[in-house]
Amino acid sequence: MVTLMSELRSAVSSCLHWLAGPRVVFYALPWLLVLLTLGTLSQRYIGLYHSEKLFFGSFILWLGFVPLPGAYATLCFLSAGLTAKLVLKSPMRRRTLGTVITHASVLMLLLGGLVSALTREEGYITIFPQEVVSFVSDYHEREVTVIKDGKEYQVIPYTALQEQDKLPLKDAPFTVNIKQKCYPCTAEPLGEADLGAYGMAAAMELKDAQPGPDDALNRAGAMVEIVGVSKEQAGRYIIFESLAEPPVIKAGGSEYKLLMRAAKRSLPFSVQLIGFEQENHPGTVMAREYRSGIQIKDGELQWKETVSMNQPMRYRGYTIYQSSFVDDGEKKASVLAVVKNAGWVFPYISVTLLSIGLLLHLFMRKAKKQTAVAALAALLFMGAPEAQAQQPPAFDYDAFSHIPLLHEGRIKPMESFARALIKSMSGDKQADNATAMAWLAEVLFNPAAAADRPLFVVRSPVLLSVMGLEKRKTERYSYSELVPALTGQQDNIGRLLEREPKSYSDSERELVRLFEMTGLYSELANSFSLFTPIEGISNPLRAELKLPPEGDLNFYSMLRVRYELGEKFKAIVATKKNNVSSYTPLEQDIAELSYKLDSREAMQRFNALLRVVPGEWSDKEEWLSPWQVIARSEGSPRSAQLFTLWQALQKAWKTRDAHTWKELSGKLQAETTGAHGADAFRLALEVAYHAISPLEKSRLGYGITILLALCAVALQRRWLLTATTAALVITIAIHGAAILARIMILGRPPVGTLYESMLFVSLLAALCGLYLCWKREGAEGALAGSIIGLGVLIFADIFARDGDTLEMLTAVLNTNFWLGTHVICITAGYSFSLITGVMAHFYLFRRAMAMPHEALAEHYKLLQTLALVALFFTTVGTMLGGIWADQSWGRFWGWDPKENGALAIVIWLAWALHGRISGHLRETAFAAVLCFTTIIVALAWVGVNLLSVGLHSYGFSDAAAWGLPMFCITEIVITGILAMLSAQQYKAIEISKARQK
Amino acid sequence: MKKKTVGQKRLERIVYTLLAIAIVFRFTQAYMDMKFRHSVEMGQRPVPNFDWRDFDSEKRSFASIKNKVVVLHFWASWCGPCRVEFPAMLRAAKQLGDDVVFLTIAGDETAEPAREFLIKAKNAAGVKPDNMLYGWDPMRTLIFDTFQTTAFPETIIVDEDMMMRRKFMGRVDWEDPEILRYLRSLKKPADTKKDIEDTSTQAPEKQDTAKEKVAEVEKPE
Repeated sequence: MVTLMSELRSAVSSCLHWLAGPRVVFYALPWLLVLLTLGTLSQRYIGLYHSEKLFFGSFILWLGFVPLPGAYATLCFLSAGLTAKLVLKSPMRRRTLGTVITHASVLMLLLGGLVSALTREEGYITIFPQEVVSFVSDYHEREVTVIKDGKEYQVIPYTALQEQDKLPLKDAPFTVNIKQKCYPCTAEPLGEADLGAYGMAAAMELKDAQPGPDDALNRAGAMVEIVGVSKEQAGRYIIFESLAEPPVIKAGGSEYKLLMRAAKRSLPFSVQLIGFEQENHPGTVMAREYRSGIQIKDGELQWKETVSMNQPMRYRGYTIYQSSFVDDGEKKASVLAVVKNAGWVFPYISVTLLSIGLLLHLFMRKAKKQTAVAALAALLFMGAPEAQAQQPPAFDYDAFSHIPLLHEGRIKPMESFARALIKSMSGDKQADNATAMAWLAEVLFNPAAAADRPLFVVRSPVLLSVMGLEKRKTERYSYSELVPALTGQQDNIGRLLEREPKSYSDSERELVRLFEMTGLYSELANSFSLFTPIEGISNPLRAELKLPPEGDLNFYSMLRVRYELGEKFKAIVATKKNNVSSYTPLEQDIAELSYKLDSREAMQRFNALLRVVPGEWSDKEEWLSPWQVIARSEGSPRSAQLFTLWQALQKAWKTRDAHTWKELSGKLQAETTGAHGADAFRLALEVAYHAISPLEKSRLGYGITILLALCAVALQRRWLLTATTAALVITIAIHGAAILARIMILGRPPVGTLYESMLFVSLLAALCGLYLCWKREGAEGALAGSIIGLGVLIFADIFARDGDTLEMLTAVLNTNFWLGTHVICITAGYSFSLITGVMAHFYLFRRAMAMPHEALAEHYKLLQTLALVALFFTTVGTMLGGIWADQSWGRFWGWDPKENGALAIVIWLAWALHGRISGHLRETAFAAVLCFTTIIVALAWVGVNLLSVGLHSYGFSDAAAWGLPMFCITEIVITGILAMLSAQQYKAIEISKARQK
Repeated sequence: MKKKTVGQKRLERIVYTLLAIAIVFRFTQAYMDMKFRHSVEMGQRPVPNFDWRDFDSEKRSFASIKNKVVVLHFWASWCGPCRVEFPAMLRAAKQLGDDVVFLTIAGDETAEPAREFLIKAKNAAGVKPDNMLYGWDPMRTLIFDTFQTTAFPETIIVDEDMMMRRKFMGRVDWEDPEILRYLRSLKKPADTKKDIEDTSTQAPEKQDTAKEKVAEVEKPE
């Protein structure tokens, strides 16, 4: 017995010790990564809710008949391992303190996840102003509700419904037999009308449906048979969600209504909506902020709160946050999400502990202090001339380029506006060799000439042949060529606009884009059409309207006599009707002029592109286009003065009067700068940013640094290393200045969009490379930093969406605090992960080249440190993201693809580090795994946007669709070859050592 | 004196560099502010100094109306909404008294229809307020060229500091107590006004008195 006990004890002990070892992590993490990948990819097809249930919310994942461990089982296994490790193998020493705290915090996070999974309730409230609500609708659960004489009588959960059974009604004078139930289901028309059925059931039948990606659109329904009522009512009925006329049964002197709806849960307090506000970026429909004023009533207590994006309200364990709104045409209802989660506090504690733990772990490692060497060389490329020699412009466009205007929700200088439009229309920086400003001036002031300039890019040969245009080497076509061609395609375009853009072929997408771009161009060209002279106003008509006998007349100048003209025309029509032949010449002139003015106004009154006039009368920071000023009667003494200046500027441009042009554009700049957020410094900075193009210079700098670094590595000359360092320092300074300029222009941290995150990641990677170059006195760091810097900047350039890269942010991102913490932290994580990956390539290369053992050992140690730093930033960044999500959406983790992507990097790095500790990953394998970090980062950072699902899908671009697979394949091939060569070399060394022995 | 370490020296260098950047940045910003400084601050709209003519083509200066809240009203006798609101505006002017001056500018081509309408409107309103001035702008140089009014009626509220505070496009409900409260709220308290007058260095010039205005009001009739 004793022996058995001791054997059992020994077995338990060895089992616990096995659990406490790093191999648990080594086996569990890859499987978690597989689940994470499957769960993320499946979201595109079955939606987040079902994907979460299948891959992240189950103990067993069934692959046909084969049971596989689900996410819960894997996490339990990991938790057991972590607990065993903490209890059995975590001595509290100074050196291991960081590891212990890190492991404890991860365990706490898992525990928090468990508490959340058990206690979490989430739902929403759709509430109209002044309405009082004290229940929450569930996102996923459904129920059958019986309303008796207008009052809620009984609620039966959908899950309690049994086919071929009765609906468990209490004290009802009739019976409801459930014939069929389905969720999600669709209603399809019957071939023949069902004479024994009523309402919807008479013409439709219910069928099971595949769950759609958006669970809110999945509908529940049931086919029921009602017996025990009058003959006229007995029969089959359909109870279906969102049914306008649900079945109504009259029995026992009462009226019963049967509803299928989202399950409702009571709140221990009531919420009243006082008001809902939506604030857009000026001049756009892009939301800057949503907020709801609510009143909470809990017994005697009553108080007011404001709930807005990133500012939820917490009360009695519930978090109420702004989710969205519904506009029914008359008034807006606020949609508030309500979450109850007892485990919400765990991530907050855990992230604090984890940061401390990882930092301790990182700094307790033995680090040799080295002095850094800084050397600056001559600027190799600062003065590099522009690639294309430009003709000096006849006009001085300096002041004109600084004139502010409102475009896409932001005050920007004309220079940015023109560049953004040219980029959108032609994909280029210039329009047919004209600078952006010269092109803009021509379009605004001489649209007829500008229309012949080849500007619009058309690449699709199919589209060209359909439009009857010849293929051209430059691929650029003018507005006057395209308009007749597009007119012939009107029917096609109309049909395309009714379809989902996702279903377009390449040529169809290009056709729609051309249609939109030519529309935009037309709006731009007509911005000042109210100043365009109206031809054919005869002298008698001038005299009749008391207009000056000479000089140009335009729509604007005609406004002062618009009423009189209208009255005269009305009088003519009243007496002579539509019989034009009976009109006198003067009457004909009146009719023609009236028609011209009316048609011009009708076409242009909504022209709102060129918003150069600061709105005078609105409290908001609004800028208006000249046409808007007239159409909305927003004129003022200041706008009258601006109109006069613009008219004179147009005249100066047409008469090629360069002196007056300069003077007037300077006046316009001075008159509008300073109004409504048009800050002179920011405008000047933005114009300078475009003129200098620092990111282009940075790309050139990284290219030069790569060449120098390669020479330094190959030739091992000290002066080459100094030159490499100097080139990198200068490049980083330019790159950093570009980002600093963007921060100043936009007034927010530089990581609001995917494009911006690329700029930031490349800079951090280059800085990290510089640090390595300095610390290790070798060019590898500079090489790695420059490769990432150049690669990511090139990708960013391809990736940049049409038009302006200086964009405004959507409401949820409009918070400097979280952009400054979470996003910067996670992008730093991406940078370190990339530099780890590239340095791992170098390690394999050096190993394959049989470099000295000491150098390799040092490099290997560096890889571990870099992987740890990358793990620190990605983990803390991911957890801070979770906290932001908790603050904004009321939940720490939502299995959103971007969140899963960040988690994938964390798991990958943790797996590599634990694999090294457990001995499963030896030098070559460890380095190869780290090489693949670049692929994981690329997929997590850019790849998830290709799924076009989730809350982070704001940066999708077609450019990534082909670039990403190419990158992954190249990386796999390169790493494979390097690992193979490295392994061969290692074997050869081992054999020679054995022989020597 | 203790010798500085390499680290301290490096730190010093960084601090000095950052300081230099901050100074350059601040000076550039100050220069830009100076270059583009406006006489008009954001949210302030000074009314331009203009002359107007009454129905006898007698030229008058807007600047002569001092320390008054001014309701600048553009209208025409052929404009329906203008005709509807005018009697109510007359009553409102009467109610507000001397602190608020109503300067109405008619955009009619000829004076007669406007004169006739004014008589009718006063009869309909049953009041002849002293604080209402009647101007006429047949060429619409003031209405259109200066104020860019493109549709009648239009009303601009000017405060005692000659700043345009609000613009009403279309008809105003002059019977709404809110509008009267708003106009009264623009009137500065007597003490503040006194202070301003005391500190004013301008030479005293002849101002329009209420009595003079009465005469003007009576002219169209």
